[in-house]
Amino acid sequence: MSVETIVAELHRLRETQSEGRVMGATASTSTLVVCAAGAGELAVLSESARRMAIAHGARLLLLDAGAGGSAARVCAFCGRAGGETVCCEEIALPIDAGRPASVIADVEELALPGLPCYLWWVGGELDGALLRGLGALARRIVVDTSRCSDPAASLVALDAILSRQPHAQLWDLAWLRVAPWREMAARLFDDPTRAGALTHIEAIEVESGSLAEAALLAAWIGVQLNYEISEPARSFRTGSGATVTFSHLSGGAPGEVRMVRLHAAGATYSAHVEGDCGVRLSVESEGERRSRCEPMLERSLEDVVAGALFGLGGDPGFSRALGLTARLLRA
Amino acid sequence: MSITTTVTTSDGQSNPLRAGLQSHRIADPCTIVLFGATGDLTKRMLMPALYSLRLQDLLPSDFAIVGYSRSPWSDDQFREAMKEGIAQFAQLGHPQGPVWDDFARRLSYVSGDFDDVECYRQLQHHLETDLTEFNTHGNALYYLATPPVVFGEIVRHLDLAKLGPKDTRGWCRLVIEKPFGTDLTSARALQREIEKVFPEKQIYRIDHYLGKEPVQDLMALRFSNVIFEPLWNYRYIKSVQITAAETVGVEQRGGYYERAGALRDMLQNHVINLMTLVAMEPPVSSDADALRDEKFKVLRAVRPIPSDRLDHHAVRGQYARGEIAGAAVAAYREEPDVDVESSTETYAALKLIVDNWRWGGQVPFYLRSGKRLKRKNSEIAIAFRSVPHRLFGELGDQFETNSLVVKIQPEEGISLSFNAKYPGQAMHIRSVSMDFAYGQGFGVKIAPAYERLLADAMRDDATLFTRWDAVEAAWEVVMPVLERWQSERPADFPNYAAGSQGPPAADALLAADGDSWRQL
Ligand SMILES: NC(=O)c1ccc[n+]([C@@H]2O[C@H](COP(=O)([O-])OP(=O)(O)OC[C@H]3O[C@@H](n4cnc5c(N)ncnc54)[C@H](OP(=O)(O)O)[C@@H]3O)[C@@H](O)[C@H]2O)c1
Repeated sequence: MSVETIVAELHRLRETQSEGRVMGATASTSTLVVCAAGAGELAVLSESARRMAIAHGARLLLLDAGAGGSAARVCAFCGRAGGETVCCEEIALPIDAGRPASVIADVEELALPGLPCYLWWVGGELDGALLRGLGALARRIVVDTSRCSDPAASLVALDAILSRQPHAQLWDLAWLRVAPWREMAARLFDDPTRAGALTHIEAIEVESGSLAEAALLAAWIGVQLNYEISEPARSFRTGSGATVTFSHLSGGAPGEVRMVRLHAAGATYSAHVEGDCGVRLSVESEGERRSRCEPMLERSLEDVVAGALFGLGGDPGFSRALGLTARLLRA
Repeated sequence: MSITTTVTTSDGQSNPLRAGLQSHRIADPCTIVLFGATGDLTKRMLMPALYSLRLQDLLPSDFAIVGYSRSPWSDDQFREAMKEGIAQFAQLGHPQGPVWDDFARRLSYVSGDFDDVECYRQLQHHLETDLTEFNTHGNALYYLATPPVVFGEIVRHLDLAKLGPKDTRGWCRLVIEKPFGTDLTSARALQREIEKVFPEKQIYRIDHYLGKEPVQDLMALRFSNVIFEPLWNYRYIKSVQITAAETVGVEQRGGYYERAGALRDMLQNHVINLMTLVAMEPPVSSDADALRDEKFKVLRAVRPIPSDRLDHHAVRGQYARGEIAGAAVAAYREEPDVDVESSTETYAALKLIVDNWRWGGQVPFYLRSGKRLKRKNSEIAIAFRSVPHRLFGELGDQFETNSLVVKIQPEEGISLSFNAKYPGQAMHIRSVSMDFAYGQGFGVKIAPAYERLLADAMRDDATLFTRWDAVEAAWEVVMPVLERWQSERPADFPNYAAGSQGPPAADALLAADGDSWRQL
């Protein structure tokens, strides 16, 4: 289906609505572009994307690089948002990722003119022309380094993008997934008698399904404590010159974090997933063994993505942590 | 508003991992003491808010909660009642699992009268146990969720039991529910009693309206945009209407309401507070006192209601039988614990004038609040003046003036109405509106006001709490009306049907100015 045919089809849909055959307001405040590289990936995410489109009044543009030779599709779907029925237009477009210029041109045609465009980039590598081109159209972008074939290289590539365009509103799902773990790590040192231990950390261990989350979490701790990168490879140096090692323990599904553990001055501070408990926070030293359960705030994938694309934005912590992560992984 | 507090040790050492986190404003460890722990407010609002804060990781990691009331409950009964309250009112699902177990472990209960010295010893014992068991650092937040008659007594006994700020080892704060006094004299007496024990900086007079998101957004709207503030004065604003309308009657609170009435219960605090936010000058900074200074100045500028023209500024009403949402409802005088000849007002409306540079004594602020009205609706509506010269519009076109409406409840959002050309050959003009709905607009869930306010009190941010000077000034504003209404029995009560827009005299109040109330 050509872009002209799709546009004609969209007009027809609008007319159906203005004739009152579709009940509800047409969502037309932004365009949400979801671009998937792998076969079948969109099928998994399209329901989440639809709910996001309804909640945020967006036209949905699904770009599928894994769809082979299938045809484009135009439809509308409706749902409830804020007590009202909202209907969104959906365009599913098979794309050839090898011809980025034509994909970008199509997206320019099909996005709602003059309104913000948001990009959820699923799965593909981060250094290609397609992401660059679509990224230039988008107000905000979400990528996922932990789904890339080489998360370490992707984090380095992402840092390079952000270094070139420091004002780009670009988020890594791996970083967003780490958010509750940053809270957990902070909780371990809320007791004022423990805050002092933070100056004596010797090792940071993170267990996760992908290196991306582990490295970002460790680097965030490093940023908060003013660490620099040290030799030997993959360790930090504190302001007083001490070395803090970083280890990634492989465990859990991709994107999942299971534990963060810090060793400092003879004590171990850890937060780990534990069945009914949620997350168990524990502090163990020779004279002390305290632990308690904390609820893990479960956020659905779409809430996390929507929060980044449509939410407050502006998290300077990310670019700083990513910068240190890239240096850590390059070291 | 944007005070940043990180968890700080007594020697000033803070947790650097907190910086920049969503919960970076988390409070110090403390015990929260709820006086009136068996009451409606605790069960419906306070405990659900505390548990929700806990689930969001917004309570300090070291905390405990002590309930104090006369009912002879055990710790376990208290825990059970609170669990029920949370299950019923928190919309968080049934509290269970290790997080609830940990929360419940931190709840304990003291049973006794509020004038029983022995019970305060027990309370002291609980606070000491919390200090060792839950590491609360000796900090205490006392929340008075009791009937106001016992506020003074509780404060006096806290002092006698050496549980006040001058004797405790940590910080010590007092949160007081409304109403603060029943008139100017009693409010001053209560203040004298409280300030003997708590310095003003440690007193948090709660007005839950101020914790509502749209109310805070009013400040953002005014002071984060350039398009409103230049118009925000007598030259462009014709009038302001602030409404707090309820469909409910007095429910089980007839006894309390008989002594209060709409003027004391709603107008003197919630509604006047909203008015100060609309009318105030830009504060010099976002800190608590800068904002509260400006609110106070508005109240100083309110023109005293002249006693010889009081009826031109104030209207009262009481509901008769009627119908709400298709169901017949009783008259106020038929409600439980209400005098069959009661002269308590269930509706009050005021017209206030602000004499200062911005408002020039030319913009009426119409305030109204009532029970058993047609629709539940709290809002602030700013009506702008007409265009100076009518250029467009065909004969017969209804030209509406622009209005900006801040919707507080049940809907939360902002609506701006303006005039636009109706499509077609002729130049017809129609009023259209642009709506912004919270939640929908940002795709986030709005937190209940009590969550915000409890967290603010714990972290020592008094911005959204009312300072004594403003409470006193608000009483001064309403006193002429209160005195008149107390001394003169209303001849026409009941004067509005349940389910209606309110008494006709309220319509006449605005009609005299060529204006009318927004429809409920
Ligand atoms: N409920 C609300 O939605 C709401 C909203 C805004 C403000 N408020 C304010 O919050 C405060 C509490 O309201 P509430 O609705 O929770 O009241 P409530 O249900 O009547 O509860 C009052 C509590 O105080 C205790 N109490 C102690 N001494 C008392 C005395 N001499 N007389 C009556 N009760 C006494 C009662 O329990 P024991 O009998 O066990 O001692 C009960 O726990 C009031 O100041 C009210 O104006 C309430």
